[in-house]
Amino acid sequence: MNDTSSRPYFLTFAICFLLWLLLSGSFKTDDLIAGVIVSGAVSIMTARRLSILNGLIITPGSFISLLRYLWYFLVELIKANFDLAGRILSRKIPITPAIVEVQTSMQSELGRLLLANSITLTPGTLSVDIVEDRILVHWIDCPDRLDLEYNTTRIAKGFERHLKGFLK
Amino acid sequence: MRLIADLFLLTGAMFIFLGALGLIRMPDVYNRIQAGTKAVTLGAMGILTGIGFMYPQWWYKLVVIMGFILLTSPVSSSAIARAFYIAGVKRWHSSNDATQKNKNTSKAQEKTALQKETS
Amino acid sequence: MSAELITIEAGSMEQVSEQGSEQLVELINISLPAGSQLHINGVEMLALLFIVLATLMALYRLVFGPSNPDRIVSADALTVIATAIICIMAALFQSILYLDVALIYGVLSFAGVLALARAIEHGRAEQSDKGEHS
Repeated sequence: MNDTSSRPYFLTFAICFLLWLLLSGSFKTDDLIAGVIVSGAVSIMTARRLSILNGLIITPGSFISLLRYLWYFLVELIKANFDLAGRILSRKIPITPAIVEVQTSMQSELGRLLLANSITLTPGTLSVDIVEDRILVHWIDCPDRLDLEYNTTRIAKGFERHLKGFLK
Repeated sequence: MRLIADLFLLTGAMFIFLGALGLIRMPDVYNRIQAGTKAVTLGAMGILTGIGFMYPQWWYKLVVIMGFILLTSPVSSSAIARAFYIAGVKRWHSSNDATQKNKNTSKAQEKTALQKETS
Repeated sequence: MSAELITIEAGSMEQVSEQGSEQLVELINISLPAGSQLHINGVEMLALLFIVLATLMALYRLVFGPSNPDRIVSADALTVIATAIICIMAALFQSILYLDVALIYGVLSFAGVLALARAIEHGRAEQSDKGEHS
């Protein structure tokens, strides 16, 4: 079994076992053995068809960039909510909604999923659909200028810069 | 400890309240999805963090629930928005498109739509 | 910090404040394990009030929503609110089992919302367009 074929098994096993530890919350020997058996069975059954984990890059540096992405995401989420709260509480709701297109350079499925999720939770944008490398975004306060590069730099570039650290 | 927990709980409840208020006040379906998903998600995060400060021995399960909400709430709202978009639910004013935009007519339509909404 | 503070001990209900919220405590009919205490101070009552108001407003949108898409959106928001409420119940009843309930509820409601979205996308395209709203 070479490296490329055993990788999804190991990844699925690691994720399942981590989830087991978090859900059971105990480090007793019985629980650990049961967790190893269950997550091993799950990874053997499903890992071949799980193509979503292919894009992950696993190095020590990617872990740090994952943490930096999470921090950036949290800050953006809080900013988005204060922005939205201001819009909701003002008497005449100041919105000019439009649906625009954004180009992404993420290659893997997981990267596009996380990018779309991040776009949904950032200020005034909601990702509607993904077609190949274009993401349809509903923008609650669309400016006058509307071209693809401008939208991409405004909406997606910040997240892509952080996501590139641990995803293809 | 209790004070920090109360602060997080109150902030989370405020954001959930604002999300529901946006659900009432926003003029069309897509904007309602925006208000509903963002504010309610952050509000749930705040409440779970508050409970985590109140009962620090529960942190692992609260982390699982937080990660789950953070992953699935945008996915479900995106799925709903995509379904509406494909099924052809009309937007507030549809002159803003992916390729073109006419600011003046959209402003006019905005006013008429707002009057329709308030009347 | 707290003007009114309610102390409940298992077996004997002891009331500290005059105009407190003992009705709430009677309403949810808590039976706590022995030795544990439950305090609800003013800030938490305010937070609970906000959540109740939010739930009522989302329910208003669910019942009187002008078209079917509005109802679906508010149902989606209500699932997340309900997950948060179940976690609050876990904190109120001081039992970690309610967190499992919240997790399973979140999983099932997510699957339900996705199924609903798929159903709209495929079958009911012409019907959801007929909403009188805008």
